Amino acid sequence: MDSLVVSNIRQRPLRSAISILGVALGVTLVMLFTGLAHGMSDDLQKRSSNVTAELIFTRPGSIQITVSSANVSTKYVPLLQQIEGVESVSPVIRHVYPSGSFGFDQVEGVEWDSFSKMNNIRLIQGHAPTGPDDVLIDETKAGRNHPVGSTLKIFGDKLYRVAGIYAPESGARVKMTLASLQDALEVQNKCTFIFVKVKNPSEQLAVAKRINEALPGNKIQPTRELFATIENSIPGLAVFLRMLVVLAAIVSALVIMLAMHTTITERTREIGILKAMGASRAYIIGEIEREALLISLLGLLVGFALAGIAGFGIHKATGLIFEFGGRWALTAAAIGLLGGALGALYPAARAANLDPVNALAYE
Amino acid sequence: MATILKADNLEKVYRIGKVDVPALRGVSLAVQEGEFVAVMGPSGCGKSTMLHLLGGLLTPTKGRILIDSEDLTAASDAKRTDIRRRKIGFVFQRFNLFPTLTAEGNLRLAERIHGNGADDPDRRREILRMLHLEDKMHHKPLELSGGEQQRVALARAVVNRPAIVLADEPTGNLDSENSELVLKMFRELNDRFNQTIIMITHNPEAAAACQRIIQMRDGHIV
Repeated sequence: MDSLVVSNIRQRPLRSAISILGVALGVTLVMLFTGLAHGMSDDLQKRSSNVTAELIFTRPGSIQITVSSANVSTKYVPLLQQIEGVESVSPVIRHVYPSGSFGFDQVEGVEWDSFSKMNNIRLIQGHAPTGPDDVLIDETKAGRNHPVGSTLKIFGDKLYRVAGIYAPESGARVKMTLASLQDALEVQNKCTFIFVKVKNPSEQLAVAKRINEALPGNKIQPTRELFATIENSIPGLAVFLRMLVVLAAIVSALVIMLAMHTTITERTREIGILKAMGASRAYIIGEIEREALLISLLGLLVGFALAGIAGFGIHKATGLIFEFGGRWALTAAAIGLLGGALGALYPAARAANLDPVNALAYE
Repeated sequence: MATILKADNLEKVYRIGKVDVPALRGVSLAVQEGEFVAVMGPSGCGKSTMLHLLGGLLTPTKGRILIDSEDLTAASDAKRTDIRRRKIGFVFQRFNLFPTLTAEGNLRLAERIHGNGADDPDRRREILRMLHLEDKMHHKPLELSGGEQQRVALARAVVNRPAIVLADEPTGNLDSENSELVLKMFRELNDRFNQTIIMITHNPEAAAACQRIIQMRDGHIV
């Protein structure tokens, strides 16, 4: 098609490519960061939702995203079991430790029989831990080249053997026996929290009240309240993502503004010819905006592709979950196109106001 | 014949720094519909300034211009642009084609600017055929000779049937053979379609092709 917009973009392939990449950068940043944040958050929620125990018995400050402590005595286990309405209890140590992939990781020490039965978790490969160095992992962890029989480093240089793979995913991806983790952390007779499954889920609040009365000074709360999203646990994350969107829009706008400014300077005489042919200001602005929008659209497509590739690569390398969110894709599209349109507006207005005689004489 | 262009007492003064430079010092002329007029004179006599004023690219310091009964001088910039779009076609010495578009693309662009959904492939082909460019329709300017480029520029200027064609030294960058060819095309447009043409030229042979010659000197018509 003989289009001035398309032919102008094709005439300067390198500059057009750089402009497209500039817009793509903003789009990629938005998609990548929101995709990883939401991927992590949704993954955490998914794993949390696979815990069927209705209540968690713990002490204040035991459970955070990046740190945890084992300060609940396991003496509470039989005491909790005796409370009216309680069906079963299972103590858990959750240990957060530094790891290479994302700064920190988690391992849980559990009594596998009670824990798996309570939360409807089953082994799909291998067997339950039999020794202190046995661990169980979920399918996502196993998918990163950790089959049954392989070894994992968890604490320093100590190697643990993958005894089995469980499903569905629930809590920490790596589980070992409670006793093994107590020994490793030197917290005998301690745990981080105790899951409490009630006989009648509709009475969970009544059971919680009974526990509180029987065992005061501790913390008892529904599990669904505890396993909040990453965003709720890191309040600054939402602000960070919004700032990222703003920055991406600014980057796109600046790239397009610079590209269009250069384009117009180079094509001053052409703009003079358009004016001599009777092109109105609106027509000239429209042509430049169309060119900017086409570049932005191409940048958008490249940005989505790069974000997908980068997200896939990060997932493969680190295990982090990347989600290509529809809402954020629309946001990225809007900022890419809006940034481009706004960025071109000033150069377009300048072009429309050029003196036609001077523009025609421009060399 | 109707008067298609009337200019009364045109003056144009350029302000360069603190100095006023008068380019036109009271020029009046009338052009009838279908006339082919040459404007001649030494460099700096005000020919191009007058052409730019007649085409609405400049506003006069004093005076009045009527194009096909529409007052160009009293019009706003947007209105002048509109009059230029509907009534005037320009041909330049340097051809001024869009290098990224084909010959036909340059004509289509003129139609798009003209607006009103204008897209007349038959008209484009007719004009290109008349100018012996039918086999050059899909060529870009760099693939055309100087004479061919100027003929494409001429085709672009007339595709929307303007009231007047204003040509600023259309043969200035052409050799004699191509100059003769382009002038022949101008004459044919004038003869066949009664196209009104005002042409600036230094070339006496080009001027001889016209029905009337206007001589200018020092911002006056002499």
